[in-house]
Amino acid sequence: MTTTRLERTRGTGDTMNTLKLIFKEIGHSRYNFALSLTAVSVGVALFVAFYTTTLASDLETKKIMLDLGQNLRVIPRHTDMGFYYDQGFSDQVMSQDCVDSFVNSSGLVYTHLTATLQGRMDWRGHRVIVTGVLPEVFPQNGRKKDMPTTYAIPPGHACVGYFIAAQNQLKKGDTIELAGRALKVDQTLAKSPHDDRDNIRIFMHLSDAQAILGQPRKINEIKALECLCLVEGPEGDPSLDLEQLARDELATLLPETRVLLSRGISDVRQKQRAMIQKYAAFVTPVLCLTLGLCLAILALLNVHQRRQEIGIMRALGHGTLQISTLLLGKFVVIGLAAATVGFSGGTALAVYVGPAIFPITARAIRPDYGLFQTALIAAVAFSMVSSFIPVMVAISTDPAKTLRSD
Amino acid sequence: MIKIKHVTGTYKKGTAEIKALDDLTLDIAEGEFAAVQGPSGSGKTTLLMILGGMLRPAAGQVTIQDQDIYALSTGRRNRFRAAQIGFVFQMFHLVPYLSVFDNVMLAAVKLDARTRSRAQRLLDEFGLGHRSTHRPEELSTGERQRTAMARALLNDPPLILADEPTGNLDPENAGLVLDHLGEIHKTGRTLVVVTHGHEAERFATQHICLRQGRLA
Repeated sequence: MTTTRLERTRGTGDTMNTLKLIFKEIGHSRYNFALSLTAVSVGVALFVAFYTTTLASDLETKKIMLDLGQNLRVIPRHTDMGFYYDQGFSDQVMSQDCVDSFVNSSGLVYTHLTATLQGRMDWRGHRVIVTGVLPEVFPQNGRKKDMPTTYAIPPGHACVGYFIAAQNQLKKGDTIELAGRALKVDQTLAKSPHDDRDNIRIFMHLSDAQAILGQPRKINEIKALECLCLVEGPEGDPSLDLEQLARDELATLLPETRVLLSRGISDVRQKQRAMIQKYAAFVTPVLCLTLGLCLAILALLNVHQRRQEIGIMRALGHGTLQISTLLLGKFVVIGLAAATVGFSGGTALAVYVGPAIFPITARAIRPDYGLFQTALIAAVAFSMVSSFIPVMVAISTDPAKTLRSD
Repeated sequence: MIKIKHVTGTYKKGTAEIKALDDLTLDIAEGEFAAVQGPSGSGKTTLLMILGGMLRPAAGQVTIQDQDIYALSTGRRNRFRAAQIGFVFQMFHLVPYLSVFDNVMLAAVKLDARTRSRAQRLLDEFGLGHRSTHRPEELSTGERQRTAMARALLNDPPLILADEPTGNLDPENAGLVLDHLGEIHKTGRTLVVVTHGHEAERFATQHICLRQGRLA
């Protein structure tokens, strides 16, 4: 035997030959190829469509959440927040004109607006919270008028909290006197399950409270429910903080105030984001596994059909690397083709169908060509990983057994 | 050319291990036309697989042209097989998606113009020149086997191993294939041909009769 013959290896044309073999085999088993391509393309298309519409989805969610509105509490700027959180109202007061400024603002709309003045005082040996309530101001901008959220108490009348009414044996129609001002009890309230402070409140008209507490034309809180800021940020800006916009608008409108946003709405938003993430975390691996399994089965069928081809290639002296390159190469081609088809399909899906789903932020749905590179890498890796085990099983099969079987 | 010393060959069939060759020792000289005969299960195909470097024997040594082929690494054994051994199978084992020409070229050690020219010349010699662009499914069984023979000869190997090359052919084509094998033998190559019957006797210069994995 001559050494030169033994050392001869397949030449530089191997790459071309392998590509030629891959494409000829694809042409031969085109149904298997088409199904494999479909499986990977569907996955790529769904992910591309999902990510292309993510920006629009985020903005849409923000807009929708904003439509639900913020519950704003406007309090005097120099409020001692320790006192506020402890007592439930500000130790400072602000002008009742703030209500008018708020109402007349064109940048803010709301569903409910009310102003209060609260203060503690001793009455008949008990500590009570005098709570003056301005009758609700309904929006002038055409938003629907909801049911009032607080008591509509006319001047000279009062609603008495549960404990105060019980301890003083008050009932509807009684007359009480606070700081020399007589108020007719309109109703005694049931025990509040939410806030113990409500049980020691005496609700009255704002003007009565201002007189009793010696704070004429003063309030210490404005509550605006479902408040919506109409100031638009730049469309498509993912960092747009609509809460901050609302704060900024109020800072201009009411410079001597501090704005508190209701935690409730933030919690809802947080929960919604967490739910979407949880949903994606569940759907993504399930989708990957399902498509991967489909591809693996198709790969298994394909290499099973090709076991004689693998056997004869072994007999002709082709090595494991050459044969695995030939088999896995097909799945690289599938990955590349699926990335192209899936990216095009997913982008088309997002661009044409997305606006119907996200009508407000449709302009934010644009082809993201940066995703193509990611799709290429992910699709090739995905198809190779899915087919790897079937290919390795086929390669490790004893060629003598394959060729002997016939 | 070929030295087989105390070779025991086994293969698995399901969970059972079949002892196909049992301490077999034999020599085949260079240029011989060795006809391997024997009933089914006598170890003929196993012998061919072992000679082809495709089935490592459980025991013993196989030397081809002074090279212990199972002492070679897998990669070197693959290259040795590509350059030194040509295979012809009963079932032809042509790749269905390749043309006749490409099937022959599948064996090429070098993909150069000279090899292509040789592939075309071999096809012409086997009467398949006009079929070079056809797919295997478009060929008759005789043409398929002649394609497989052209493929086996592409790298000009000194050793041809044929496993019942006429087993799937009608008498006319079987005669044609045997005539070709006879022609190949005349070029000085060594042939080991497994046959079920006695059709290769007119060309055989050495008869190897196996029975239960041993020389009968």
